[in-house]
Amino acid sequence: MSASSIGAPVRRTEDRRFITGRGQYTDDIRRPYQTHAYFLRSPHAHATIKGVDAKKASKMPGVLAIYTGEDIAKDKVGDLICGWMVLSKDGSQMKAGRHPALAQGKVRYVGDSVAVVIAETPDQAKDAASAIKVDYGVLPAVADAAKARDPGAPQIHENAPRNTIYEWALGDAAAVDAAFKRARHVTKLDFINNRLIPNAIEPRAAIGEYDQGTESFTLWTTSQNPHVARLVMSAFIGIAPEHKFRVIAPDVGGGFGSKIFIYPEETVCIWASKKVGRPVRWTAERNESFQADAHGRDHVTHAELAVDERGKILALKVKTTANIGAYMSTFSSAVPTFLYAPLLSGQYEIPAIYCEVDGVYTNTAPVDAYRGAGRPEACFVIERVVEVAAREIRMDPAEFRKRNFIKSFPYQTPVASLYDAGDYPGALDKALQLHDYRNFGKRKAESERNGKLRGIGLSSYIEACGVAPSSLAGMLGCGVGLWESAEIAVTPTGMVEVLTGCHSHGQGHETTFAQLVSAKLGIPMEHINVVHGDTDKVQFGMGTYGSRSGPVGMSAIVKAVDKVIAKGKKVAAHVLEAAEGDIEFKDGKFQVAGTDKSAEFGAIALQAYIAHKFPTAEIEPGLK
Amino acid sequence: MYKFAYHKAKNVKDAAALLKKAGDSKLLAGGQTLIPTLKLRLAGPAALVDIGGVKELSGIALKGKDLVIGAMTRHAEVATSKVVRKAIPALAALAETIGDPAVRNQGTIGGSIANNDPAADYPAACLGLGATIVTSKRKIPADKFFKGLFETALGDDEIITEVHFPVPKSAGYAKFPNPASRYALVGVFVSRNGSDVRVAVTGAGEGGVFRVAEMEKALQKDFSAKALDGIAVKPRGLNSDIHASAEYRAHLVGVMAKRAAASAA
Amino acid sequence: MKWTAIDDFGIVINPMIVEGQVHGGIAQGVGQALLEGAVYDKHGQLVTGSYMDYCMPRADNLPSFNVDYVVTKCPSNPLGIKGCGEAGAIAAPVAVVNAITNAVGHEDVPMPATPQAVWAAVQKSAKLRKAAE
Repeated sequence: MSASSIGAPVRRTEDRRFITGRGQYTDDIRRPYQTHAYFLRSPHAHATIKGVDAKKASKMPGVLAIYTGEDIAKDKVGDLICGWMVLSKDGSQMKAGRHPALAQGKVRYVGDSVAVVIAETPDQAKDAASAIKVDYGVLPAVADAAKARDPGAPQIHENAPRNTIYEWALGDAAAVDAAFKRARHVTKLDFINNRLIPNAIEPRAAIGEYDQGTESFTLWTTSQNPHVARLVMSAFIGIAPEHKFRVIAPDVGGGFGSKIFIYPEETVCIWASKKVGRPVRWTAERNESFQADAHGRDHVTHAELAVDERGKILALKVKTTANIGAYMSTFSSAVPTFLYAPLLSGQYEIPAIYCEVDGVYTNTAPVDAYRGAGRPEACFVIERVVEVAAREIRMDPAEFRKRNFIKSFPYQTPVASLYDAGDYPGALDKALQLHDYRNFGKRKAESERNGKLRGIGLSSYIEACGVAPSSLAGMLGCGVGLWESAEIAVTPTGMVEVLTGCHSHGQGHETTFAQLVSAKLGIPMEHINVVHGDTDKVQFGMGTYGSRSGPVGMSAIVKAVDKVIAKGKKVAAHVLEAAEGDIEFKDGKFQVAGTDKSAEFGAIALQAYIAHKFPTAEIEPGLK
Repeated sequence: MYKFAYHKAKNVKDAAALLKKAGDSKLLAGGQTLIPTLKLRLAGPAALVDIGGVKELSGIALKGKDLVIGAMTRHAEVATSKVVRKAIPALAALAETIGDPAVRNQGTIGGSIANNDPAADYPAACLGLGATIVTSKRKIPADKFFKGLFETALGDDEIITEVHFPVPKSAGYAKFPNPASRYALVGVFVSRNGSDVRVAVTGAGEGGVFRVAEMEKALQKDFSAKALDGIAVKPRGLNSDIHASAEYRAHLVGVMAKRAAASAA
Repeated sequence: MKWTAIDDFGIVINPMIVEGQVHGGIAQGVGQALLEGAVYDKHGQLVTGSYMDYCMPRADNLPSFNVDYVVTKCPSNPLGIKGCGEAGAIAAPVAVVNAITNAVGHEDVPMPATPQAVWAAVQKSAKLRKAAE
C-alpha cells in the first residue's frame, strides 16, 4: 500500500458497495415499530379545498392517523421557506406566497399534498388515502409562464398580484441602449429553455423518528445538504430545536439539485413521528417524483445582441420570464437571477449588458436548481445569440467567438462577475483541431450525397463554480453562508477520518477526497475514511451542489490537512529532539532537515495521543 | 396493487375454467403490461390466472406452410429462434425491437396480441402476414381479430393458444420508435405471399392496427420502395399526441412503408 | 454525431472521475436538447408524468465523446482547481441546437428538438427555399 497522488485515475472505492447492492439508502433503513406515510395529492392544478372527509378512511385497517393542513396549522408548524431574498427593480421584496407542508384551503398544482395517512403498511396507507373524500372547488389554472400574467389569468397566491413574484434586473440599461444605437447589426432571438424533470435514480425518501426519552429527533433523508435541512427545519419550520435534531443523509442515489431543497414530505414525516409516537417513513413512487420533485429551467427569453462593423460585440440585452411554479422552493428565487444573469457575459468581452428577469407563479410543480441551475440557461442565451449573430453577419462562428473572447485576466464583467483566469482561445483552438473543424465542409458534402443534412454547433461556457464567497452571497440576499468545512481527525494508530460538510450522492467524493488527503499526508488511501452526511458527526457544512465540492470543499480539506501537518511538526520536534523550524514533512515522514532523523506519520500520531514526550501545557494532546 | 386472488393454471382447459369461475379475472401471461397496470392501481381484477407454467402454450415450429408460435413464447425466443430467422426473418427482427431485454425475456406474443396496444409491434406482424390466431375455442383470421384500441375478438374466457403465420416470399418491418417509451410511433409491416401483398400499420391509427389498400395495390404491381413514391396516407384518423401530430405520423407511415418494402424486396 | 469537449478544470485530482462527470453532464445536456421536456396541458395536468412520455437520454442516444482539457490554475483557492460537476450540462444543449439549426439552415428549432420538431424544421427549410427561388 502506498500513497496516492494528485492526477492519478484512482478507481472509485465506493462502487464496490454500490454495485454489489450493499449501499445503505434511506429506503434500506428499517426502524423498530416503523409506520408508513402516504400522501394524498391533488388531482387538480388549482382548486379550493371545501372540505376533507376522512371519517371512513381513519377507521380502515392499519390506519394510525390522518392529518391535513388543519393539523399542521394547529400545531403551528412553520411554512416551507425560500431562503434567498430577491428584490425587484423598485426595491420591493419578492412576494413569496405561503407554503404549508400540507395544503391549507387551496391546492396549487397537481401533486400538492392535501393529507397524509400513516398506517402499519404502505398498502393500508394507500387504501385509506383513496377513501378520503376531498371536496374541491376547481379553479381555472395556468401552467405556462408566458401566460401567467395575462389579464384574466387565475390568481395563485393572494399576495402576489398578477402572479408576479419579482421583477428583477441587473446591469446598466442606459449604457446598453446607447450601445444599441451605435450598432451596425442587431440580432434578435426568442426562445424557450425547456422545463426538465430531474429523475434521480433513487426517488426521494424520508424516515422521521422521535425519541421520547431524550426528546430528540432523527431524520434520515435523501439530502444533498443535511446541515441546511436541519437548520431550515429548526429555525424556520420549527419542527425541533437544532441541538436535539439529527439529520442523516446516508447513501443517496443522485440528486442533480433536486435533493438540495427542504420539501413537505420530510417535514411531515419528522413532525408526525412525534404525534404518532413511532417512526414514520415515506419513499416516493416514481410518479410522485415526476409530480412533486422540484423541476428545472422553464424560461421564456427574448435576447438581443448589438455588434459593430468589425464584428465586435457592443452590448447584450436579455428579458426572461422564469417559471417558479406554484410555490417558491428553497433556492428558487436565486436560480433565474443571481445564478443566471451574472453569467450572461459568457467568455466574451461585452461592454454593456442589461438583463431583466420576472419570476412568476404558475400552477405547476415548484421549479428550482437542476444541474447547472441558471448557468445552462445563461449559456444558452449568450451562445445562441452569438452563433446566430455570426451567421447573420456571415462570419465564421469560431472566428466571431475568438474575436470577442476575453483575453486578459482578471476581467470584470458588467454583470457583477469577476473572472480570475482562463484561456478561451486556447480551449476553442484545441476543440477545433480535435474535431477537425476545418474539414467540416467535406463531411457536410458527403452527408448531402447520402441525402442527409449535417450541421455543426459550437458553444463555450463559463461556470461560477461553488457560488461563493459567503460575504457576497449574503450581500446578494442568500440566507446562509456558502463556505465549507472539513475536519481531519487522526487516530492514535495513524488512521485518518476526513469529515466533510460536502455530500456525495454519486460524485465519488469518498475516492477523490481520500486521494487528496493520501497525496498530502503520504499515507495509503486505505488508511483514510471520508465521513459525510450526518449532522451528529460533521460539525457543519453546506452540502454539495453548484460544482462546489472541489473548489470549496477540497480547499477546506487542504487547509485542515495543513493544520494537522503543522501540529504534527510540533510533536515531531519534541520526539526528534529538534527545533520545530527544522522539521520537514514529506512523503509521510516528519524529518529533521539535513539529517536522516525522521518519524513516520503514524508514529507521530501515536506520540500526539500518548503525550509522553511533550509538555501538554504547550501542546494539546491528540492530532486533528 | 389492489388485492387479488392468484390461480396457477395447469393447462389451457384448466385456465379457461378458472377464468370462467373467477368472474372478474385476468389472464397473466408475461405480465409486462398487466403488472405495471396493477402496480399503478389502474386495474383491480378479483383474480389473476397465471398461464406461465402451461408448457403446451410455448414453442416455435414450422408446420406445412405455416410458422406456428405458441402464445406463451417470449419475444426473446422469437428474436433468437433459428426457425423464425430462416422462415420469416422480419418477424425475428421485429421481436428484437420490442421494449428492452427484460421485457423481451418476459413478454409473450399471445399477451401482446390479446392486449392489442395500438402501438405494439406484433399486431402489425399478424395483420401484415395474414396470420391466424388460434384460441381455446376457434381460429380467427388477423383481419377479424383486431377490433380497435385494446379491443379484440376474444371472448371473456377465450385464450390464445397459437399464432399461425403463413411463411411469405418476403417481408419487412420498419419501426420509428417513440423516443420515450420505444413503442412504435409508427411501425409498418410489409409482406408478399404469391399475389397476396399486405401493408399493415401500427402506432398510427386511432383505431389501432390497419392496412393500407393503396400501398398494397401499388406493391402488387411492383414490389419495391419506389412503387410507394407519391402515395400519401391522410392524417385524418391518425393519432395525435405530444410526440407526433397526425401529420407527422402520416409522413412517417410513408417513410416506414418504403423502408419496410426496401428491406423486404 | 461527432462530439468534442474541451474543459478547463484547473488542477485535476482524479481525471477518471472528472471525465465521468463530463460524460454525465453532456448526457443530461443532450437530453435537454433532444429528448427531455416536461409538458403541462392547459388545465395544469402533467402530460409527461412517466417514462412512457418523458424521455431520458439512454446510452444508444449518445455518441462517444472526445474529451480533453486546457489547464489554467484557479488563483482563488489553494489547489488551483475548478468545479466540473455541471460543465457538460451547461455547454451541451446550446451546442446541439446550434448544430441542428446549422443543418436545417434556419434558427427556428425548439428544445427539445424531437424527431417531430426536426421534421417540422426541415419542412420549413423546404418552404423557405421555395420562397427564395
